[in-house]
Amino acid sequence: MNLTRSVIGAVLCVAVTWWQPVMAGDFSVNCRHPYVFSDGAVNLVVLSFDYHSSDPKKRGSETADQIPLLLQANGLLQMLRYGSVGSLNFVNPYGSGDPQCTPETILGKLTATPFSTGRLRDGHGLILIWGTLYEEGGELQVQTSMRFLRGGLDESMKLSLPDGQTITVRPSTTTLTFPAQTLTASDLSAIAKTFNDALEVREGPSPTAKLKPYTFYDPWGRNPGYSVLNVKDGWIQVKNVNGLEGWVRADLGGRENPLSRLLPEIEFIGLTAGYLRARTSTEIPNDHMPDRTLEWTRSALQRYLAFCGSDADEVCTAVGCQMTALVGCVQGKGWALSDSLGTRAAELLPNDSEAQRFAAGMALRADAGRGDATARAALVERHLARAAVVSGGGEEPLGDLRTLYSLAQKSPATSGPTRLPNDVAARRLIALEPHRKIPAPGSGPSPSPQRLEPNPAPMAHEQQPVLGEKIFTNLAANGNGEFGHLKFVEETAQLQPESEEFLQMVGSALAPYDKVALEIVLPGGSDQHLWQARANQARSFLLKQPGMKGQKIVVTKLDAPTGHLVLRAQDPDQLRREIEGRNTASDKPRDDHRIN
Amino acid sequence: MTAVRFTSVLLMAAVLELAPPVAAQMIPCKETSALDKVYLDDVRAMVPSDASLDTLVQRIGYKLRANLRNLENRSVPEMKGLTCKARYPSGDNEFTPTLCQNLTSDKVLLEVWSSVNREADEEGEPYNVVDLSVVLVPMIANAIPGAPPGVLRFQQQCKPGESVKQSLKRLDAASLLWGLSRVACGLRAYALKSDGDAFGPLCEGARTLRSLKDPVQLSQCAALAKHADEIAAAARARLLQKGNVPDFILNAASCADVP
Repeated sequence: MNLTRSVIGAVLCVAVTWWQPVMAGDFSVNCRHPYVFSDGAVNLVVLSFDYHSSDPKKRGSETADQIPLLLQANGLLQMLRYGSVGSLNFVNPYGSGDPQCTPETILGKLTATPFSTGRLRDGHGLILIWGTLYEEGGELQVQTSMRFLRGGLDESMKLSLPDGQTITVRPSTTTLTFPAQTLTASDLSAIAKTFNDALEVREGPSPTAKLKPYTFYDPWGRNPGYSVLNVKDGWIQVKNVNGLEGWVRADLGGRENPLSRLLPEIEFIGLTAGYLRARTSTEIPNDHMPDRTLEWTRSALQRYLAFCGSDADEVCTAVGCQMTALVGCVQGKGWALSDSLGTRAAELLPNDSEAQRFAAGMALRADAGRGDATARAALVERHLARAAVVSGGGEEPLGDLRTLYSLAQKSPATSGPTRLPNDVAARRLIALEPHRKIPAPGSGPSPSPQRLEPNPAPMAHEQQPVLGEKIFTNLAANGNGEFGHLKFVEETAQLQPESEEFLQMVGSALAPYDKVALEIVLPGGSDQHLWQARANQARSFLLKQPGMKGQKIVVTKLDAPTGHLVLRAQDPDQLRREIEGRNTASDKPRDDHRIN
Repeated sequence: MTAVRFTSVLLMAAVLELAPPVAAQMIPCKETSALDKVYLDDVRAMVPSDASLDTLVQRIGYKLRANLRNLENRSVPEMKGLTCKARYPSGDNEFTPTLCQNLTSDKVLLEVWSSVNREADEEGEPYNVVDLSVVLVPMIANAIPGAPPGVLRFQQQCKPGESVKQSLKRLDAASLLWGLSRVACGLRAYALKSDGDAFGPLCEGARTLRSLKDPVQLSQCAALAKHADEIAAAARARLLQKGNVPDFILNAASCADVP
């Protein structure tokens, strides 16, 4: 089957009404016209993999094109037990570089608002799979990436604690890259056979049942999707919108899926589907997940780890543990299991703030389930202190610590190696109350560009921690008249609060003087529109300061890409003369003497 | 062993004489994104190429690009991996403080380049040597006295007949680049006295570099891992000195003190 990569004007028939519970698939959706089964609680979308070869002229191969389809079909089989799932394979006839078929573009289309049929509903889950392939000498190296999400939601979960307190936990990441797997010539030959088996449509769930004269796969993405009517012994009974139906083999023969040995991420897809199914069940009205969801998710994690062996990636393993722990939380059982899985994730990712908070949250919740939330407060404190430090003083871990101390100071027991004495907890709570945050400029959701600048000149108020005229005088005498660098919220023209404060100080210091022109210096290089917008924002802010109306503020541009925006006096000598003159004068200059 | 090295050096010298002249090609690798970046330069064959060398160049290029994608997926805040066509340095010393300060302005954390050479063993049997170099841009831009070199080189021998799987495994630099990018990120924050932001990345960088599976990478990064630990401790000490972080938080967390 040669997958011609020519442009095909594909017309998709997606206006399908699927009955509940939705269990549906599509072997071949054109990537420029992506859709999901909107009514499905969880959809799996597998994109074409980027192809590379030892022969740079080679643009693809049959086997390479079969890998995503096998992941989609096998993924669906892993997911079917959870009910209300869909699985789609997006084919890309346009080549790897097509900007309409990147994971980011497709995700954007699938989650676009407002909702319309074919897009992801709020609260419904999506697993997006993509990857790269390298082919050489009949062998193939496969590296798969995954993103999981729920429409309109983040993956955080609030855990209830005594006294109406809560602690919020979330997986360390929602984007994963799995360890690369190399498939040998014999693996590939087995896959090719399996692929052909998977395409065959039979009258019954058996390899000996009579073959139907059609398949549900179209490499150009022109086929409509199918619904799953039944599942039996690794076979699924499917029916497409045109009424064609039949049994398709989805387990590649046998209860132990041989493809999972070659590509353990297939088991991870099953794990993620279980996790999302558990989370969506709390968001979708009248939805229920199977009682055995935790058991199945845990088994998928165990199989994933067994198949990976020593190649298991620490991030994938940690996130797999966290997702399984969260399923236990949703189902309200297995708190001890969730606790131990959280601890394992924290051990794997000791410098990940979310992993430390997750472990702390699970320990608190597990102990609360046993009637004493602070039984291991000293251990929980260590997790949260580490989370606070490695996150640069993130507000969330500090808030968690306040929650912990608040609970611990009321705890009836005060002894034991894992406890925190009431008086210690009370003192620590007081120490945190004045909101004494670790000083990390721009820490929080959006890192500040200021942190990223090379050796910036210290801000004025760092050099001389006094306000007003004295600062201005000192700065003006400081050689080039440079006041300092301005700081903005990442990728926006919004001033950082500390830069606003700084501009207020400069404005206050400058107000008494006339014939002083300020200059905002833009860096050269990239992002000129952004830098210009930032300069305009800074200029506008400064002119709004009391006494600054009518002051001259020019914006100039450097050739060098310095990466920061500088505020300085346009003529330092004149500024110095002005200050010296002003310092000997007795009255404040009039506004009408200002430079216009 | 010494004899092999000597022969190799002689052969290399001879080969280099025959090789086409290599000029510096530090052409700009510009990108409009305001994100942190890692530059990946072209992979070069240092001797006249043949089919097996071409294949190795493709392998290295694929593997490094895949490693870069891995880094992008893992990094928070987001990081951009850029493949810089036709860009490569002529040597380590090209990364001067001035160049690195300019690169830091563009938020470049690492620049990675690679070349392939051919050497011969005692029996005269040729084998390929892959040279992977990484510069930690902020480390050179903000030199700290007593710090190890900011450019690291990793040499791997690719023997003829080695399977694709073995070869790609040997060339894998995903963990290496993750560790180095964390160290670079932490050193940049430390230079800016943003100690709260320096500690986490430095600890993570040191931990990753210490747990590298490849023995060549592990030994080459030992000094850097130690340095990252020391700077993390210095950042922690500065935070303690400033006094605006409660001691009981800082005392509960050092790089080595994992809950």
